[in-house]
Amino acid sequence: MVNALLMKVETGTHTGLRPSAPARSPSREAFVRGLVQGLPIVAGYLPIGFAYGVIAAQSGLSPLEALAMSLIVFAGSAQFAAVGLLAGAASAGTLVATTFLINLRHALFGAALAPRLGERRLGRLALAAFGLTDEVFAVAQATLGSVNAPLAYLYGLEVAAYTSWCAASWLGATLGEALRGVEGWGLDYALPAMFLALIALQLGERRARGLLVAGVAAAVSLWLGEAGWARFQVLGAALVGSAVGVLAEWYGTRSSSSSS
Amino acid sequence: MVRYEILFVFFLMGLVTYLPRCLPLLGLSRARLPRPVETGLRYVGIAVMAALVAPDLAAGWGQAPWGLGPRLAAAVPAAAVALASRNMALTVVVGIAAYAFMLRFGG
Repeated sequence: MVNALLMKVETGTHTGLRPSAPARSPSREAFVRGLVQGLPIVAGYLPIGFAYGVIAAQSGLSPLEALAMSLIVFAGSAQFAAVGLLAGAASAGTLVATTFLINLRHALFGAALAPRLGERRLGRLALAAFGLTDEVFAVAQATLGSVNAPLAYLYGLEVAAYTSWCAASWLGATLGEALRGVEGWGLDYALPAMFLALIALQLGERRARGLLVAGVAAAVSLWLGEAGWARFQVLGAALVGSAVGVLAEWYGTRSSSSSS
Repeated sequence: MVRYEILFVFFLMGLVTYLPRCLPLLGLSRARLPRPVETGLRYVGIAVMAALVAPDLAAGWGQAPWGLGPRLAAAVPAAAVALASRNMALTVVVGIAAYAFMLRFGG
């Protein structure tokens, strides 16, 4: 999905806003440009946020609660995982720890963006940090070079992403709540089907390794459940699964370098 | 309707999401993550989703159809569509249709 976004953005820069006359405020202009360049993110977030809302309502959250999670957390895959955990009545500790583990990768984004923003006021940076999702980072990384006021531009991207994500979540949850009583149509299969799709979407170019990681994580999860350690199912599987991913990459680079 | 204890959990989730986004951007954390950790973080999402979906799909193990149970049996076409199309909506529609079919005709 990120790659698709990048392609859209790169083509978008040629047709995007080209201010002819110098505007009064360069940062306002950059903000508006961020909103416009954020449209590919909006196009991606509307259906996925809607799906999150439907699933959240199906697993027992009210529309306001589903919206609250989007407003407060604003992290796609972690919110899907949280809904899955809530459906399985997981503890608060598991929810928070799993969210942390999934979102820790965002630490890499801040380190990459910081030198390119040219901003020293900590308050403004702290505000921008809230909206640094995968997709916002990908678009910012690809387009920031051509912008005069990078921070205002980043705000524009983030406002577009955040409003579309939250609005779609709420709409989806409202529909999901209306569908809650419907039985016998297989609708309670939406959540596992969505997880299968999310796994496929995350595979990217590392298809074989990703499938290996998914298989190992599934096996560890089932084994922990059988052994009576259901509380550690997701965390244990996440740790073992990503360790297997690291080992597989290490083995892959080692064997390819020794064969050449 | 909003339950306050759930809202509190959301705030904690928001906090552990915000800190990794914020601290490196502020330059407060110069510590680089070790290389293997960086690699591993790319697989966390896949592993978590697989760990969540596995017990759900395996719940009917040993039942009809074919000893898979209706949920795992429906996962076969759903996973095939997911891998081939990478389309979330299509996967969900196929999965729900296959599951409804298994419930009605599979056992």
